[in-house]
Amino acid sequence: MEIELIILLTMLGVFLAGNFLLKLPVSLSMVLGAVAGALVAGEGFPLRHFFEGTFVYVDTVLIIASAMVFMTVIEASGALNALNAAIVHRFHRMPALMLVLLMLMVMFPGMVTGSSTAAVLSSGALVAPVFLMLGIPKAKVGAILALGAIMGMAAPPVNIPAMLIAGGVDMPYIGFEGPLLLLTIPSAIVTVLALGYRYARKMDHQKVLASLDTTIGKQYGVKIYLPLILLVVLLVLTRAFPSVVPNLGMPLIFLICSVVAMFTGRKFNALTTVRDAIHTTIPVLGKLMGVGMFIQVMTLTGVRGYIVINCLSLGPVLLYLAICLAMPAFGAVSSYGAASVLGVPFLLALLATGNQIVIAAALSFICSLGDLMPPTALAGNYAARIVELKYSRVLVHCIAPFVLMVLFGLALLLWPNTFAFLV
Amino acid sequence: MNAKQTTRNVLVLLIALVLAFLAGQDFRDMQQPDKIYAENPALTRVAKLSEYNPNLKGTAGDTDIYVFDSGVPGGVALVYGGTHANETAAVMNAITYVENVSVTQGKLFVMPQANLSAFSATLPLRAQMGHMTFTLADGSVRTVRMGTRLANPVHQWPDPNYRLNSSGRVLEHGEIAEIRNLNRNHPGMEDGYLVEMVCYGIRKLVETENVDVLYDGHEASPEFRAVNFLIAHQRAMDLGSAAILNANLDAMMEGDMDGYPFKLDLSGATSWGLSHRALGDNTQAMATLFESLNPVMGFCHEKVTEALVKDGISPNYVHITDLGLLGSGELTDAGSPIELRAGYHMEMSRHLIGALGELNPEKTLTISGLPTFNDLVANGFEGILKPVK
Repeated sequence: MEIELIILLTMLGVFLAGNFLLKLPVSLSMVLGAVAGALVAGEGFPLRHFFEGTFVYVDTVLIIASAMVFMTVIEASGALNALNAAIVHRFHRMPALMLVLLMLMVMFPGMVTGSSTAAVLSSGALVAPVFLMLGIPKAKVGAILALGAIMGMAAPPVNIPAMLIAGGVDMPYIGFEGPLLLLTIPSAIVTVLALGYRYARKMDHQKVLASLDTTIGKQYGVKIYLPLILLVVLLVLTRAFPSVVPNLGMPLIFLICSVVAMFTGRKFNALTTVRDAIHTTIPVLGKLMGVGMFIQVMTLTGVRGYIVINCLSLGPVLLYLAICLAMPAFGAVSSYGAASVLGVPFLLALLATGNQIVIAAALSFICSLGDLMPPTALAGNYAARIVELKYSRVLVHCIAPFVLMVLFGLALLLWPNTFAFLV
Repeated sequence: MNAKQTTRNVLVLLIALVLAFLAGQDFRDMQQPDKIYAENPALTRVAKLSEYNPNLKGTAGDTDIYVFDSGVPGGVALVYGGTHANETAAVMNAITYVENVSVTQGKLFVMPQANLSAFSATLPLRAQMGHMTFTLADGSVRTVRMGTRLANPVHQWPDPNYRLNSSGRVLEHGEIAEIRNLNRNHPGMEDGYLVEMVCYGIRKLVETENVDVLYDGHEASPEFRAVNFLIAHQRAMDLGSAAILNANLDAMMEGDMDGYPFKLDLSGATSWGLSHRALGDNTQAMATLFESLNPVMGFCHEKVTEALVKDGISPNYVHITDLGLLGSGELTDAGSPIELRAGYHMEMSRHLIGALGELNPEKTLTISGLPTFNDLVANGFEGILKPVK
């Protein structure tokens, strides 16, 4: 047995043992797996590599933490309730259109930030109560949020897995918009209608309208929406007019809007609210840090190269099978990791088969679906948390759309030139 | 919070602090300047880049420039490595120049660490080594720093959302970190981001000293399609052709009938911010860039060891090459050792300098003292580098 395989099995074994037997958090289990991998590989205790890997996703960590503060704050201010009441009141006679618009809302932050977590935590949490009001079961709402956020992450203009894959073979991130829109928008529409339309169609308008809490909206008027309006304005302006609007960064935007929310609605204890928000989000932040350390040790010990070389040595049928299975499965560690570890060599393997941008877009789309894969499942876990369910119950409803989306991505991989007109 | 919980939290924080302190030693060591041998009698002086852009004075971008001035009118060349601090063969080439070269006509400028800041950090998730070592004949050990592709965020942070840089290149979204990449920000700005100021310093050096030819040394992973290519500005194409021809003739004279695997390509018209395009367009110099093949820079290599870094032997990449999946297609079981890669840089830059005088006799720049390609490959850097006192 090759040493790299032994190291890989050790890392996975220690990780799983820590998580399932010792009931340690996923983050600490990943740290233990990484430490065990380094020891078995004869690297001792490479503290510099542990630290370097741990802090690789620090930007994402800051975004998630600040987004969580924002969500908790606008919930406490009453802005969430007011917004939900307004949306249902305006669109309740057109359920299909309402579902599609809500889904696009879920996707939007993911499209501009490239992060499914940002999408779930911001607009996902905003519209979840609306979906629930329409009578859609909690588990299906969780699935809609998770899949919508992932579609947002994969949609243009910012698709980080696509950037990582393209960058790995020296391909500019240009011309991806068409293929990525084809992959994500129909997938998102089909998902939300398949999971939600039959409930929304049967909705009892009078009952729903009666259940709406319109008092907050009336009490504070437009003022209560100021943090949300400011969020959208800052997000759009900094992206649409980057040469005019100064660079603020996602964490600062979320924090500015959080401060504004303290003065635009119900009064609340800011210290307790922020502490609760951070307490809620610590496990996911820990996972990101553990993932970074895990991948750093995989690279250091040659396990990363070992995985790549074995994937590339597969025949054509097994290669496509590995793309459909291994890339999303690697999302259990990190979908960004899947893009850089597996996406690049898979693109190399398929470069000669057709339009390279279509292939890279399809690979990034399949990679993004890894954000559903437990135990990390960034999009999935947060979506489940929003609807207050265990992730396993949400995941069940993600399976069918997931399979269809992978097959959709596979179709583009098999016939890339057919879709080359989109580039 | 009860006393037990408080004690546990304090304990966890203390452990974290101790680990951070211990790891911090490694990161602090990376901030220490690299020792470069500067006792070559032919060396006229060691200048600073801040002489050409005073805004760099006291910053992490104020790199050393080794000046070899014959005092005899002739051509002027700038040879540099360390644009990307992990592309070690280009750095070793520049160091070899600093230690050995002698100039009898014209003037030569050498910069081993063009993006000095980038030598003080390594790239996360790449599990890079921080340095490589060479044990010399006298038993002393020479350590050469390996950094990363971008300037250290400690020195230039945060990256903006958007930057329309001096070349007209728009940096945004996934490319925004390139604001810390020396080879995306030429010709630079006098008072901009640190890396832009370094680029401006290089531009002013080229302009002030009337540099005729500049050589920007790089390395690339096997996934890169332009390995062993000389990329030349349109005004440098004749020079590049002559240099490659002469290099191959030299190799044949030495008995290597296959010659060097050098290829020539024209600088892309839209390669905004890259040295061969932006410095070629904005200065009088004939701008060139050369890429050698370094397997440790890719994604598919084996365990990261000093042997991998120095010998460039990667069965993984050979396997992928055999599968026909690599654009470069050049890696074999023999690997891509540092001496071979640095030797390619040395031959390429030496013959560019030679061709300068051939094509334009009043611009003759006569250099000597460099080891031959065969000497370098046969003796290794262990036999070439000089002990630092």
